[in-house]
Formats: sequence, C-alpha cells, structure tokens
Amino acid sequence: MRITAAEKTATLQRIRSAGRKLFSSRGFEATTTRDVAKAAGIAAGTLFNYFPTKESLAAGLVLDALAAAKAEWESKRREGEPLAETLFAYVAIGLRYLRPHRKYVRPVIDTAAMPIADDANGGRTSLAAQLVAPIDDVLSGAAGDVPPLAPQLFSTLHLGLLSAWAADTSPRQEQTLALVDHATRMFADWFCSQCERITMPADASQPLQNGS
Amino acid sequence: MTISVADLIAAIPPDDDEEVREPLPALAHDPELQRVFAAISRRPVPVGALRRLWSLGGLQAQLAVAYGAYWVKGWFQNADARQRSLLETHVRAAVRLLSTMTYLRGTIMKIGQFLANVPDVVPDQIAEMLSRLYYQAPPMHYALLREHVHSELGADPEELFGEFDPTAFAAASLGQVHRARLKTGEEVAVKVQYPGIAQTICSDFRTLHALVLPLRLSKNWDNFKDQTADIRAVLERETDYEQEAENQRRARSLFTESDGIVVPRVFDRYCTKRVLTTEFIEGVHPPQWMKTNPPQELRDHFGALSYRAIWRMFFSGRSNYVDPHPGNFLILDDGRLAMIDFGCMRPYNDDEWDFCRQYRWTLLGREGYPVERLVRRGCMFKPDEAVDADQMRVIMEYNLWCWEPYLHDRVFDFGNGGFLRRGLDLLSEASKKRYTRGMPMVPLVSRQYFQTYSLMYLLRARFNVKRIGDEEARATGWDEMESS
Ligand SMILES: Nc1ncnc2c1ncn2[C@@H]1O[C@H](COP(=O)(O)OP(=O)(O)O)[C@@H](O)[C@H]1O
Ligand SMILES: [Mg+2]
Repeated sequence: MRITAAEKTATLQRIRSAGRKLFSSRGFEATTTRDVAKAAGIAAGTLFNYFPTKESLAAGLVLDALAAAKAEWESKRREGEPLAETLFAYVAIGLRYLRPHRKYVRPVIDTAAMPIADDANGGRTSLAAQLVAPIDDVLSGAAGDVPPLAPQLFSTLHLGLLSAWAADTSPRQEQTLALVDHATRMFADWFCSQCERITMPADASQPLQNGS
Repeated sequence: MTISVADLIAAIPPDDDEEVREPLPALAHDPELQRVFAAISRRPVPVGALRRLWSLGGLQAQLAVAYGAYWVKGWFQNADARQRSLLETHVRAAVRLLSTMTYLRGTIMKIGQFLANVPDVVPDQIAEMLSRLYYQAPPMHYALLREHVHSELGADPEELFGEFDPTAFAAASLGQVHRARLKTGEEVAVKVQYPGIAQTICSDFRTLHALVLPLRLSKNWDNFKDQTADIRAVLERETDYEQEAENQRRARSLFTESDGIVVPRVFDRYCTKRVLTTEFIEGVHPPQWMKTNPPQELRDHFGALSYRAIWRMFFSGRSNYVDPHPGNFLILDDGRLAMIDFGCMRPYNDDEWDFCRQYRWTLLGREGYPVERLVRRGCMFKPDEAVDADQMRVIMEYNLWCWEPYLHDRVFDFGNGGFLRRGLDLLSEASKKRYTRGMPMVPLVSRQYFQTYSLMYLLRARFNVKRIGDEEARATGWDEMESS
C-alpha cells in the first residue's frame, strides 16, 4: 500500500507533537520510542521509518524550532547593525524559539555533529551544520578576508552557549542572556581585529549620552 | 601614616585615561597599598568593546579599594602579627575578587557620586569627571534589550508600546532608560536592568562578606557586621525593580498637587523585577540647571522643595530616602520638582522610629531628654558600660552638625562650603578614633545627611530649614505627645 505525501506529513506531525509533549512532561530520558509511537497512534516499527532514534526525533524538533527562529531573525535584522548585535540576535532569538524544548536540548547538542534526517526534502543535515550556515553568510558578507575557521569557531561558541542555557537555573535564564552578550561581543571584537581590510560598522557600545 | 579623603581625591588621575593601571601616586609610598594596587594591575586588560567599561570600572575600583584599605587600616594598629598577616591575605583576596566584580560598578559609582558632591576638596574638573562616570553604564544594544524585555514582559518592546525609542536616553546604575509611549498615549520612561546583574551583585556581596567576616578586627566587630548587613540589605533591595515600584507608589501617595513635588506614576503592567516603567518627566537635573545661572530665589525655592521632599519621606513615610543625589531630582520649567528614583529606601522599624523621636526631642532641647541617654542608645552601649568623654563629645558634635541647619528659626545659608567640610572632618575624626559603633541604620542615615547637604550646597540654597522641618514633623504627632 502506498502512502500519500499528505498522509506522511500528517503522521510526521503526530509523531512530533507526541514527542514534544512526552519529552517535556516526562523528560527525555524517561521517554521511550515505544511511548512516542503509542501516543502518536502508530506502530513502533512505523516510527523508525521517520526517526531512527529518539535523539533524532528530539533533534528534528530542535532543528524545526531553529529554522523558525532563523526566519524571525532575518526579518529583524537592521541595516548597518553592528556585527555583535547581529550575532547576539541570532543566538538569542534561537533561544526564544528553543524555550519549549529546553529540557531536551542537551542530548541533541551531544550529537550535534551527527547527520539528522531532514524530512522536508529527504536530505541530511546536522545541528552544527544548520547553526553555522547563516553565520557563514553573515561573516563572509562582512567583506574582505574572513579569518579561516571563523564560522566553525562561532558555531562551537554557539553550542557552548546552548549548553550553558540548558543548565541555567537563573530566573528566565537571564544569566545566559548576559553570557551571550559577552560572548558575541568578544567574538565580534576578535573577528574584526582579524580582518583588517574589513571595515565594520561603528560599534553600538558607545558611552551613553547624559539624559539631559 | 593615615590617608585623608583629600589625599585619595587628589590621587585620582585628572582626565579619564583609558588605562589607569599605575598605582595612585599619592599612595605609592605605602607598602600595604602598593601590594593592593599591584594585585589590581595584574588583572588582565580585556580587549575591544568591553575595554572602556572595564577600565572605567578599574578607576572606580581603585577608589573604592583605597577607601576600603583606609577604613581597614584603622583596625590595623591594634592587631598582632598573626592577625596582621591574616588581614593582608584577606585584603588581597578581596581586592582580587573586587577586580572581577565589574557589576559592582553600581555600588562603586555611588561612592563616586558622593565624592562628586563634596565641595572644595574636589577640584572642579574631578567633580565633573566623577559625575560623568556615573552616566557611563555598559550599554545594551537593541537586540539584547528586545530579548530581555520579551522574556520579562512577554512581547517585544515595539509590540508592547505604541512607540519605543531603541536608543537609551539615560544610563541607570544597573542598566539604562528608554523613552516610550504607551498605546494609551502616556509618555513613559522604561528603565531596564542588565540581565543577571542583580543575582551577580548579590552573590558577590555574599562572597565579599564571607571573606571579611572571619577577621574580627575590632572590639566592635559584631556591630560592624550588623551595619554592613544593613547596607547590603538596602543595596540588594535596590536591585529589585518590583520593590522600587512599590516604594514609588507609596512615595507618590505622600504628596499632593499643592506641594509642587512630583513623584512619577508607575505603570504596573510594564513592570517586573527587571523593568520599571514610569511616567516620563521633562526636566533637567540640578547640576545642568545650575549652569543656566538661575537667580537666588529660584535656587532657594528648589532647595526648599527638595529638602521638604526628603523630610516628607522621613516624617510621613517613616523611611530614609538614602540616595538624594542630584541625578535623582529633576527641575521642571513650571517650578515643580520631581523625585525620580526610589530604589534606595530604608524603612524604620518600631524601635528605630522610637529612637528617632527621642533623637528629635533631645536635639530640640526637650526637658527630660539628656544628651547622654541619647548617645548611649544610639551607640548601643550596655547599661553599665562607661562612655568615654571624648567619644561623647565627638558623637554629639557630629549629631549637632547633622541638625545644625534645623536648630534655629532663621534662614540657613547652604552656600557656605565650610559647613559641609566641618561635617566631613567630624565624620573622619569619629572613624579614625573608631567611634563607629552604632545602630545598624547609622551609616545609611549618615550618607543621607551628607548627600542632602551636598545637594543644598550645589544649589547654593538659602531657606528656613526649621520651618519646613517642623511642618513636616507634624505628621508624626510627636511634638504634641507627652514625654515618657
Ligand atoms: N520617569 C523619568 N522621567 C525622566 N527621566 C527619567 C525618569 N526615570 C529615569 N530617568 C532618567 O534616568 C536616569 C536614571 O534613572 P534612575 O531611576 O535614577 O536610575 P538608578 O536607579 O540607576 O539611579 C535619571 O537620572 C534620569 O535622568
Ligand atoms: Mg538614580
């Protein structure tokens, strides 16, 4: 029996929402693929056609959230925005979208370099690859010579920030916001110092004017 | 040798050099302080955007450390060798810790603000520099602000407000202030605290406290602990904008239209622990206003208004407006005065309030309220403990100084810098002689007096202090009470 594309998408949706609910309520560790299949109303074997492992299901949820975040980040970019601000927004808007998935971001980060089935077009991608692509564009868009490995360096930093965020116990994870601010400024400063030929827009961190 | 406040101030570099890492020259011959400053200068200099912030922090940190060392040296003379080396170790550790506490700039800036208002001992240029430092908090770019506001209030600023200016118009000690318009049309000021700063400050304080507490440097050590705990509690409360909103609402209820004193309205819907939204007030701070050469009558008018505002908070609000520095007042075109910052308020408990009544009665010469009884209570002497005559004299002179403007029914001229200097001299005599034991509220109350009189000096105001004080004191009902 052939399954139509529409049916396939519907099943995928059910698996996703079952996974999201169970991971959040019961926790990633305590949830089995069997639980997910059951909650989605499909056979355990069918689930494997879509997601070979529990990790890949979690990663799929995370990647989707990040894709939505990327769209919002792009819509919010402003002309002439300093690099540090662009990078900050990229990481922070990502966190905003990842908030419902915070409890199971950790296991996904642990497998960040592993390829994950991308359901949209059947291709394969990984968390690390997906995180780095837009930054690659931003950095090379900065003109001139991009320091070698700069995008990879940033994506490593980014994964570290995600990991800190997942473990952050401060109210609304506000400590992570401060950390992201410091980290992105530091990276932007390093990056700009590396490419002399690049003229970056003026830094946003000018001293504030006196109120009156 | 001892170091005077004047030495410290003279030692501040004359312009805001980006990298102040030399030991302060006037103190360079003191080996103890040399070590302290060497520890500071070993701190790595950070690069790039944070550099400016850090080096400014460094300058202020030096000032604060110089104070700390000056203060601690007072106990030093009594210590034996073992204690002394313990002290050194702890001071050095504290300094190293301090150099990592960039967020303490809020507290450190308060010292700067205070120094900026002290007359004469501060050359004009330095006073200028210090008040400018106050306005240089580390900025949040709009992306950070947006994210922070979103996580606090549930939506982006541009969705929450009818209009929101992405550029801050003023710096706050813990963050920055933006102008906005509510969807209902009101012009507001939105104060946003840098994320995580409150938690970091509180834990830094706790660490610093833990480091210093085991020292037991003086016989008054337990009292010192209580006093610093009191300061810590007020500073910690200051990091909570919900508490500030509550203070501000309360303060607002103490004034009426006819007072000519404005406390901006608070908009609760846009307030959290980290965000404070209040009615925007169009006005200038006293130092800028003074640059317009206002006539004497106007200076007297605003001096009297700010004095009344501070004492209203005390007599009617039963709390201490700890931070009456010029950045917290705005002068309006129509002759009104606005008080805008209620982060730093210290309420009195029943026992303290009763003491305040006794204090007032004693200083105003009411029968049956001998000075000695007041001093014994204020300095927390045990019933059978002998009070040193010199201590009695210094404490009493200092308190009489605090109340000097109030004691006579005539115009008091605050334009005379000698008055403030006399207070400073008394304070430093008391601390040099270690007459520092007192109720926990004492350091903050002292700070309030100095800041109030500095503001009056800045305005070169002249008015009848007693008349206003007596009017405000009526709210307590004390003066009609029977002595007991
Ligand atoms: N409601 C307001 N109207 C006008 N200016 C304001 C208002 N609130 C704050 N400001 C400006 O922002 C500055 C810092 O605000 P403030 O509440 O004093 O912060 P902090 O508690 O850090 O001292 C003030 O000195 C003033 O210039
Ligand atoms: Mg203020």
